Amino acid sequence: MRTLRDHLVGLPLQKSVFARLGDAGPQLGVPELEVDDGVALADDGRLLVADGFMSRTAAALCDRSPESVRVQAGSVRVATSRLETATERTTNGDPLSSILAVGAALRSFIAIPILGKAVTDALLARLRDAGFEGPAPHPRPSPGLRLTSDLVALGDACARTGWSPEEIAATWPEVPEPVRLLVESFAADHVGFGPMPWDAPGWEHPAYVVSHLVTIAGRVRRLPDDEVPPAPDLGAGHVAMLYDALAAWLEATERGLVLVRRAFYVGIRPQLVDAAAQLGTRPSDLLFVTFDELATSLPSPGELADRREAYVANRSYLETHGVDVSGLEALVVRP
Amino acid sequence: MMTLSGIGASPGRAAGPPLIVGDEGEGAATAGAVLVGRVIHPHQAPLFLSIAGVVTEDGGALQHAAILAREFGVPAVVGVADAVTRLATARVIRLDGTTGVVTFEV
Repeated sequence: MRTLRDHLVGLPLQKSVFARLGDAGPQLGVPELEVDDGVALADDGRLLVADGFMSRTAAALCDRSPESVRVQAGSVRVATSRLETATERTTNGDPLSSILAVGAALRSFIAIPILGKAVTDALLARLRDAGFEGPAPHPRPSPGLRLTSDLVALGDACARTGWSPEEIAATWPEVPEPVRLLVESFAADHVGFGPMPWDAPGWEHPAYVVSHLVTIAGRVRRLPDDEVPPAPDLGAGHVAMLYDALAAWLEATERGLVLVRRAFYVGIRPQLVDAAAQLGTRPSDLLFVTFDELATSLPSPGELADRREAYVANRSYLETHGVDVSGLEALVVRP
Repeated sequence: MMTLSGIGASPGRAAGPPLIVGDEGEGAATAGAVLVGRVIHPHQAPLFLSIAGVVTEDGGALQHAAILAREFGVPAVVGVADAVTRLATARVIRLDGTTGVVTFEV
């Protein structure tokens, strides 16, 4: 049994996001819910979490009083909103406190998309048991569909400039300014779309966008229409409460990965350079500390060097996620 | 011909060679392929532009792969145990997104 954190994310700063999963129960109004870092984030090679853990979790969260489920849905929305607000807030003049604010919001949020995998299925099952037969209230369009539609539109816009995806890829970044601005604007608009590891390449990088423009070139354009079904009129009873709770969990779960990645690139990354100057260390060193250490005292230079060495030596992680360690310094510059 | 079973998550039938993607990887685009992975994430959605179907190990009608498949009108079966390992060498995969049955030839 491996610890999922070691497989899923590699930077100590990001690993420490998962450090307070145990707070999830009280946060969601279910104090008896045990969300243990060692158990909940274990990887047996197939599952993110053990089946038994997930079914117990879903039962603990869903088979409660209607009022409790309603409050829980409110907690999910609050944690999501808090992370979005902390991410988008510009610095208050103190880069370190800004980073810590985003870190605190991340830690309050992270259990929700993890638990959401089980809770959403359980809530839908209870809705069906209660007689609801309509579609689940997930975000429409989904984040993935929005990304895809925008990418197709970007390809069309580039084509109107007379540049094919292959020509853009062959000469990037030495392309005409209109083309460069189109690609860079797309990347800026889609910060957060990408793999869980912050250090793995994602859609915020223009070169990554260009590579995918090439990938979709000539593909079947099977884009669905944007028709969104109207919300059902469910009144104010038990079914309405379950439906609203499911909507809250689906929103957070469907957008979870994007929100967590965006929190780093928008909320943390721009502050790292100034925070490092404030702390008297190299900017990239701050990727190898935990949020708790940022709030108290940094590890010794020797300890930081050891952590960096262990990270670089973890070839399995680096290869699995396509991480280029030579890009670490570029990861902590102001965009 | 071998058979696997899972949960039908997006209706319809599809057939094609496997396109295996990692948990975080994008995979190479193959038009008409059946996307196979442990789990599919939103940032991998552009793959849905050209695939014929989806099979995932992760189960649940509300997971990302199932939602995307329904949006794109692509047949999908989720919750298929060991799908990545068992389908990696398949020549052709056939899936029924209504019944949750996956058959394949090696």
